Amino acid sequence: MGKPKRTREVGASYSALVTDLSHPIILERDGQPLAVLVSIEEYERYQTLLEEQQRMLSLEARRVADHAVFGDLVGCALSSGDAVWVPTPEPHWRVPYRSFDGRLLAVVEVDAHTHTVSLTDEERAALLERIERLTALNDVAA
Amino acid sequence: MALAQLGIVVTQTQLAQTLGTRIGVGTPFSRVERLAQWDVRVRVTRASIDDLATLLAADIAAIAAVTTTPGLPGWGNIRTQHAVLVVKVDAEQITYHDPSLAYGPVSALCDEFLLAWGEMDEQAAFVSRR
Repeated sequence: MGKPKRTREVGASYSALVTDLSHPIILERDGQPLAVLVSIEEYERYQTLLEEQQRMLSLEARRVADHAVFGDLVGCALSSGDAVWVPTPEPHWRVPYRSFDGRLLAVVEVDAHTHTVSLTDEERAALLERIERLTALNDVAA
Repeated sequence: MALAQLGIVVTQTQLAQTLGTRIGVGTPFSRVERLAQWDVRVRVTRASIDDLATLLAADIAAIAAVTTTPGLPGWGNIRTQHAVLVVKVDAEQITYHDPSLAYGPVSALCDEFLLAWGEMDEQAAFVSRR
């Protein structure tokens, strides 16, 4: 993106403003930046970057949640799902944990800023006991 | 599987008792060190593909901790932490036994295996006879 131009003439004609969008145009009001005008190509590139960043943050949230749920366990019959973005009231991710047959057993929240995981030791122990019971039941049924 | 590869016969029940395995919950990977009670040397460490190839060539069993991905045969979209016994490494593929699969061994592209292994910080356990 090139060096932005500035204009204090927010009231300037639209067509005059958009003739050259090779650089972003910063619109000002009373000397304060108000908005930025960019080309559609630049806007789409920005949107793509935002989506990619969101995808990377989602993967990281899932890793953080997995670390809290699994620790260094291997062979656990829980599967983590894609993290879901929740912007309000405090931005966070929700990571679902399911049994291998798809039953939802827990949703772990990860703070978007601090990566704090909403899973106490007691809740983790209860989740592991639940998957242990379910697996034992399935083994008996099989 | 690693013990069997070294010619040591142990039942699944004995193994589960020794490792403290809970059905459905699994086993902390670090507990693989308890296999030492069967007179084997166990080393849990971060490793590389080259390490796997070198140690396999020296008849050392290699267990890798992985996070399952769609790139590992048999797992689809299930994402969980798992352990597999690596049996062969070549330029493009890694062949391993997966205790969760009724068939085997299976192969995955090295890049796919690295993705799954990398999620577990390339942790491996190397098991050899004393």
